[in-house]
Amino acid sequence: MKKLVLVTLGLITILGFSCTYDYTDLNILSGTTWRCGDFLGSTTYSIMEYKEFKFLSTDSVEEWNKLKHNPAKKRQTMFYTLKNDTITLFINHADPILPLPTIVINGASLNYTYRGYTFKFTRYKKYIFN
Amino acid sequence: MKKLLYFTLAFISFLTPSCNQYPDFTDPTVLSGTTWRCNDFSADSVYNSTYDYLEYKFISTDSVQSWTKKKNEDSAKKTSTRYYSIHDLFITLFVDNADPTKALPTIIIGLNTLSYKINNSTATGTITLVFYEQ
Repeated sequence: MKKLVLVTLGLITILGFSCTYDYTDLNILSGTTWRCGDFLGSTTYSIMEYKEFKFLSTDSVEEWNKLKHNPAKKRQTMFYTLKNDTITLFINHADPILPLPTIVINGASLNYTYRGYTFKFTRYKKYIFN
Repeated sequence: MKKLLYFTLAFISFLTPSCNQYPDFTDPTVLSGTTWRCNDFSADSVYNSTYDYLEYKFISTDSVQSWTKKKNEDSAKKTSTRYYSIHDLFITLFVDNADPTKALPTIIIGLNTLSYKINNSTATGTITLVFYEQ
């Protein structure tokens, strides 16, 4: 009986680790929330507690910032397109001196580079938004 | 007496979180109407010998004035008006009707500071402005 339990637990663990979603599929990406709360090597972002992307649908995404000592605030809603593993963000009133920002899907993380700094986002599971 | 104690505790609890709040200056509606001042220039900067202070006045949600007070002058003078937009923690300055890609200083927003880098023929370094008044 004990062996059966151990085998079952082992099987569940193996399955859990092997189960990764393909976030390059729009239907899987849509409805997910991603968070970056670690701004290693950046003094600029030291005032931020976290940044989030909420993929509301297959073509729109919200960007949220939580500054320290402040409530989380939605910065903007953007349209996005996905091609292979690259998400291109279309920002209203985009910074004129910069190209459109992109997010690269890297397995179970998203790498977003802005002004030379790369944010690493991981799927934020605790959030109620799927 | 007990009631008074409870009331005092409740009042302190109510006040404490609000004391820790910093305004969110990444929001243009919050930044608008604020003035920022730098009067602590680095020792090797030409600014140190020339200016008493440098100010940025955000007069609306999209325009900002810069003012300087020189040591040999009695009052501060407005030196320019720029348009601005906020992108994440960065303020981009630009001149209306000019090439928007023309590089102007990009200002980084801190909790209660604004800073930008200068690198020209007269000075090199970082200018840090501190929140001065609403």
